Amino acid sequence: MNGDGSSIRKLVGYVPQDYSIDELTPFLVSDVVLMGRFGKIGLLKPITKNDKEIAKCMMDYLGISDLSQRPIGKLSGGQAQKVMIARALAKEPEIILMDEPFSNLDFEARKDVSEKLTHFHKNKKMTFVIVIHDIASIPKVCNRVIVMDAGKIVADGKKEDILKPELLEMGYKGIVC
Amino acid sequence: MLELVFTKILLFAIIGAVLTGFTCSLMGTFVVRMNLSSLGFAMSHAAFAGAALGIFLRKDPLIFALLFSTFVSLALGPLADKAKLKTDVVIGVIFSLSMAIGLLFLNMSPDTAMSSTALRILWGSVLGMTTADIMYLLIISVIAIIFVAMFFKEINSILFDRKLARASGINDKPFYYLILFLTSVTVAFSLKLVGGLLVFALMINPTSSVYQFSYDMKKIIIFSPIVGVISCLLGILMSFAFDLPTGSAIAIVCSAIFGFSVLVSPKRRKG
Repeated sequence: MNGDGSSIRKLVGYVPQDYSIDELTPFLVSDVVLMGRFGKIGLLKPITKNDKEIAKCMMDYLGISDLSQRPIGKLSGGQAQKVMIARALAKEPEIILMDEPFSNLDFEARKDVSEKLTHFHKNKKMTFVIVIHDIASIPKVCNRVIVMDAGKIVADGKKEDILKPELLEMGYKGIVC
Repeated sequence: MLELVFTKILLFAIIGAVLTGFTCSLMGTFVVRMNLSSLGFAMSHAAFAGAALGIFLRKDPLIFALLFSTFVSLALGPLADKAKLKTDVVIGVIFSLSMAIGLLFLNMSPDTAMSSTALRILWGSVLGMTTADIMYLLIISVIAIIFVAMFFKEINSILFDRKLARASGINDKPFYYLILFLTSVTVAFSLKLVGGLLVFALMINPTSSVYQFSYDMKKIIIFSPIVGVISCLLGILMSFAFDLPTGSAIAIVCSAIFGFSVLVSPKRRKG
């Protein structure tokens, strides 16, 4: 990617970890998802019907359309996390950075969201960079795993090569079961 | 002839009230949402200190009010960073210093201390609105409307979460400083009607009232100025009816509206 910070950020989606929102926050879910596209739309350019369609499409895809008119502060942790994922996807970025995107999701929701992210990776050629501590949640199509310890990379390679007990033990300091 | 003069004064008062109420409350939506209430407080007192200096120097108080409030709005952030202090500590210092400086300059102006000029910048004066005041208020109102209309999506995104807005590719810093600058100019221009001690109430209360009824930021931005205008007009009516300082009357009205809003707010009903 070439360009300054602002132009690069327009191509990168971001899903924060455990995004806590005040209950009284005066924004609706539909607005929050649509906001994901504002940086890409650009200054002084209007929001088009296509932008709204894309945002709606992402909400439909993640199964949160019924929440569209709900205040963003009135959601459960899992619902809020899906909204943040939908917001990042609505941007149609080249790369999405996700910090513990499955932490507030139950098992079924994790499986469902993981499959949907896989679809985006395969069909929309989106690259996902995911920070994750739960090994079981690593998506099946993940083709590169980097293990870090105290800020340093201790392993970097294919999933099947990296996810070995001895390396994981090093990363998790002997807590691996 | 006297009737014409009185009609002109009344007309200016009404126009001034509408414009002040509109602009203060519009900027108030940003101040409240971005948790800049303390900054707005510091700005209004800095504007008062500036106006007091203007009186002391026998210059136009508005120019100095504008300079002081703008300086506070633009210097606060970098000041807090360099001093490695919490923002509310710096605001607290600026607020108390501004009050002290303002009262000092009023005290040092023996001809004008506690005169009508000095009292006007403290409490406001509905009868003091001039053609120039109306023009300034009209200009800042139009600028604020154009700013919100042109950059609504960026502003909305920043009001939701500044960091996420930046992450999505919006350059939030210029907008943040522009909001601070427009707020400081609004405060300075509003001194004439509401006074330095109470302009803050007109900025915060109408928006806080509308907040009690809506979770939609678009509606809050639209209805806050309406409540602000109503507060100002009712305040002026009260000021005339009971011979009260304009600023106090407006502050009482918009506080009463806020209190009523909290009581009837659907957000506070259980279930």
